[in-house]
Amino acid sequence: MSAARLTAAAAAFAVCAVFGAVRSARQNVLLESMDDLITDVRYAASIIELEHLPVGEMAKRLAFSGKCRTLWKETTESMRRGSTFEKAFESASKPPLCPEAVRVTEKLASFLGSGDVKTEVTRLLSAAERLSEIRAIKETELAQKAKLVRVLSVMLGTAFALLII
Amino acid sequence: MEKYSEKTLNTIISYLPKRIASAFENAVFAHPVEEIRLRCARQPQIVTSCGDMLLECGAFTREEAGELLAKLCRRSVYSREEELKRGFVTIEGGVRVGVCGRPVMEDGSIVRLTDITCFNFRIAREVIGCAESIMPQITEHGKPVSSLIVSPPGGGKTTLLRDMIRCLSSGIGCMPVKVGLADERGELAGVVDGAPSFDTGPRTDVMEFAPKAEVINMFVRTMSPDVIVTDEIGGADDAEAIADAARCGAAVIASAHASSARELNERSGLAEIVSTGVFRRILLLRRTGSMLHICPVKL
Repeated sequence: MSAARLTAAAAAFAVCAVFGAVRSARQNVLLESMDDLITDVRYAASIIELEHLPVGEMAKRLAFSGKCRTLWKETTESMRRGSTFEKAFESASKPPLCPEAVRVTEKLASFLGSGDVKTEVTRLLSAAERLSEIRAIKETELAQKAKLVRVLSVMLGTAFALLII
Repeated sequence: MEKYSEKTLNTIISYLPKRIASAFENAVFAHPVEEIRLRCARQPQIVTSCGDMLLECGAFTREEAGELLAKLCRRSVYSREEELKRGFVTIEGGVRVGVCGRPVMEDGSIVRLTDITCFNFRIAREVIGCAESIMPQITEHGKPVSSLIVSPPGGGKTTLLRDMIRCLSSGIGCMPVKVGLADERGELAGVVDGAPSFDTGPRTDVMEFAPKAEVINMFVRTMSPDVIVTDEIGGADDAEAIADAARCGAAVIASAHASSARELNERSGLAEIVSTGVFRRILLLRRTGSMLHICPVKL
């Protein structure tokens, strides 16, 4: 067995293992986006509860000091052009989210502004809670998936290494 | 000089449903429009200084009412909740829109107004100079004294008070004084983007959309006004705050709803304020068409 073969096998194994590790780490991006969104929804609830700012002003505030700034900036810009909050939010580019989370936020956007302070705050906090539940489910799923990806990539790397040898 | 603001009218038109707005623009009015009233399932009513007419454009619908309310509240009903509870929303240019609906009660007081179906756009007017001839009646040795302007609803109190503020603040008919304006409904100054829509003079500090009794106390504590002006007094809290301001040396000029001296004495709250003797002048305002008549009241 030549040294070159051994080196190639080791390299193949390393590439597969690193690929697996990177793939599983990437899945954390979705959880981070959800954390940011949940923080912003709670922030929106406190803006409405304490300052009674209209939705347009609230979006502006979030674009300035929220976590998902791109989403709120695009929403604000669409509203400036005359869109309603619902349409502006729907057309703005969202951070990486699972479809359930997107559904929850879009439903929230379609109702926001139609009720009194108490209703709106309850609505926003319930949405934040629902998003937290979705996040917890996703976290478990992703942890299992990440483990599977890591194991499969190590196995694939081992298989490649053995083939090369 | 009456400033019947085109801009104000255009602002109102921008809120109206399109078909009503175009019918309104096509109609011809012989006298200045004062109110635009919209009621669900009824034709829009236009009130001028010399009568009223119904717009021939069909009835105002519930859908239009919902859309109008959303527009008035900038699609955020919660942001106007406090105003709605008191039965009005103030929009750009100090235009007050009165609303009627179904109040939701809790512990005997209104906590919410739902099912809003009637709207009354009251067009804020600025009649520059209308208070100039009255200034001698509310001043002594060039300084303002506490005065109460009384008239029935729609009698021109707000228009007169607005010009009084300008005169006091600019020194027209008196020495120029610092004016604290407690504008609970936001219609006296009509502040938009931080600047008053109406001429309130160079020495006027405006506090909007807050209970006048609290604002009066804040003014006395922090802004050292020579005179405090406020609209439509009548509550027990108002009496206390006004008496306190007077004790601190600030004159108070206010308006109230009543059509005679007798009515003034019969209205609880208002009668209490008057009985404190804070107001040294009480002026009764009567309106005939576009003419204002003012006569002093002796109690």
